[in-house]
Amino acid sequence: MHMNLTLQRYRNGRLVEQRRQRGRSFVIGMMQLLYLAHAQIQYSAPYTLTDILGQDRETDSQAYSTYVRNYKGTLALSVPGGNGSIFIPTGSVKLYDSTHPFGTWEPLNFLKGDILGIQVGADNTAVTPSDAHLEQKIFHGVSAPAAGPASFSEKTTGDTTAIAIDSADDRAGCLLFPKRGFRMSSVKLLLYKSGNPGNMTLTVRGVRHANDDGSDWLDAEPTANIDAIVSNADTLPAGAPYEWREFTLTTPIDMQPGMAYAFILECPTAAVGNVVYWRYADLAGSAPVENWARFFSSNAESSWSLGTNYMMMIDPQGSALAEMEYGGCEMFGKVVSNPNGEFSISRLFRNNSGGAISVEEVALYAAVTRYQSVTYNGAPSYKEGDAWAVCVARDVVSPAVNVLHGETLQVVYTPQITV
Amino acid sequence: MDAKIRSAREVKKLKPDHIVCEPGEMGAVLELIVKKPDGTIRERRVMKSKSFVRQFLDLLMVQMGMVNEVAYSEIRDTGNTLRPIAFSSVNFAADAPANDDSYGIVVGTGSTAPTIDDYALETQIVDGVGAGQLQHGAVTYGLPTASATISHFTITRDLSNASGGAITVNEIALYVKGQQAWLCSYNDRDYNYTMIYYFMTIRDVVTGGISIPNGDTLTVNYRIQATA
Repeated sequence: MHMNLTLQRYRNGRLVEQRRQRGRSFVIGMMQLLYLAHAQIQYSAPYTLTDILGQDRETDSQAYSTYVRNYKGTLALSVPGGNGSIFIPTGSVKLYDSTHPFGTWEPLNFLKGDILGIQVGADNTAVTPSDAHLEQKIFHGVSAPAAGPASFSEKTTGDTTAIAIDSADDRAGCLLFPKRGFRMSSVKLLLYKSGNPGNMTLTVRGVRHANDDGSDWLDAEPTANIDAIVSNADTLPAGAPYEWREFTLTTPIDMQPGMAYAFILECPTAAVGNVVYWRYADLAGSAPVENWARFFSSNAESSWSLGTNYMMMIDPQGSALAEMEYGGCEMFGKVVSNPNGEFSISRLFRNNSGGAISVEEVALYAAVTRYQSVTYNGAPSYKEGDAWAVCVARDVVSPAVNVLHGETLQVVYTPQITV
Repeated sequence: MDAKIRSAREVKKLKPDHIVCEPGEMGAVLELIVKKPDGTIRERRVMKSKSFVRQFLDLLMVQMGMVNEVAYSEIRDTGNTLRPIAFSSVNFAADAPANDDSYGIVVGTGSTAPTIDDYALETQIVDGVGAGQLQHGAVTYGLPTASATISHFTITRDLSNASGGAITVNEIALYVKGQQAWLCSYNDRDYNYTMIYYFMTIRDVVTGGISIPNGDTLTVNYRIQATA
């Protein structure tokens, strides 16, 4: 099966440039999703793969099938445009439980339109089979570029109190859904200390629905590290005006709007009297913030609490490319005539950023899911599962396509089989 | 004066790695190994698969588009019947257990060249120990891996000949599951276990066939791979 790639640039509705090239295209993500489907991997023995955030995810082919069909959105990539969302079925169901009468917390399984389907980017690093994402994604939107260092999705005012890390078992953090896509190079936290707590570590992680069925209703937990940065807490101030301590990432991270990230702070040598404090705004009695929450664990991550009434003081720093508006990603044009068969996957990208955008790479992201079943009070209980995105194809566009302000780029992938 | 021409003798050990798809291609490499009862190899062949047939595209579109039960796709099953198919965790399943010849890697005696519209083996060799039958082992998998240029995973099945006579395999295929689109209700809940059909996604013809003497085992490896 080959993948043909067509790029067409339009100005005022007229075609001004057309490129056709043979895609280089399929990467290991495509093999992994086909393997999951063919081998019918079960939740109890999951298969770990790397998603578009660079995060390792446990995935499977399992779905609940009593009274319902086996709904599971593995390989889904036909999605609405930009800020539209699509619910990706994970195969899980939420059973009514008298202890948890509230609805499920679904933000994690509604994937924003630009997370799946055809993608565009700005880096021409050669394709390798192990590529897990674009080298540098051009995100959905209309914003002009922002040179670094700039603040993105920051919460830097309104702090009223602090959370204390006074044990090696403590973890304090925040959950963040970025509002704008950007390349994060460092993170600043508003901190102070008492005594000499020693080295502290900030980890940047992904998020998934929690396995612990009893600790909270909001039901999320951090997953494995994307990056970990150490800093000496002994040099923090002992009180106001506090310090915006900067943690510089090992490798910059492209932050995808609509996906959840966790920023977790710990101090292995903290103890009573040798404490790290992270400032936050206590919003109790006020409306929660739309895309933030606080994580806390006091038992070395055996369980987590998640509270939306607490706004941690955090200042992610980085830079951002100009944005393009992602249209819907559609499939059409299936034609089968021996010995050939094909169909097409197409997406429009409109440049309303105010300047020209150079497209140097394209990719195809498809959904992968995790089923979830836990035991609560000795009885089987079912949870939401998780939905993420995997890169299944990537191509370098050479020479780059320069899309001017006001122009539209159409990208079409055509998988074709020939017997 | 006669010109004498002699070709150089060369013995090569072919491995699946040496049969590669073109850059940018996703395809399959087919490896056939006939083993004697003592486990030693009697014969080994490696060939590039003629690749996917239309049902592969059909199922791929169903999954990629999350085609659901109220706007299903019709796909031709191995019984030559169009079936209404919706997205499902079951689609593409090829994890056949031992002695199940309805799906997984399957073999036959037909030798008609593949076409994209093929929906089944020409003449399947069924599971069993009777004349012309092969015992089908469980399908197993090699995990996805990637090198500098290739990513792949492998589907494997053993087929043992206890029929009493030699059997020649001329065609190899991959059959997978697909789940019928249906609207579930409480009263219909018991029907979900019967709403599975089988679809052929790959078919190959082995030039000249490969013979499996009585007592021998044919191991079929389909390596699905993509070359960057």
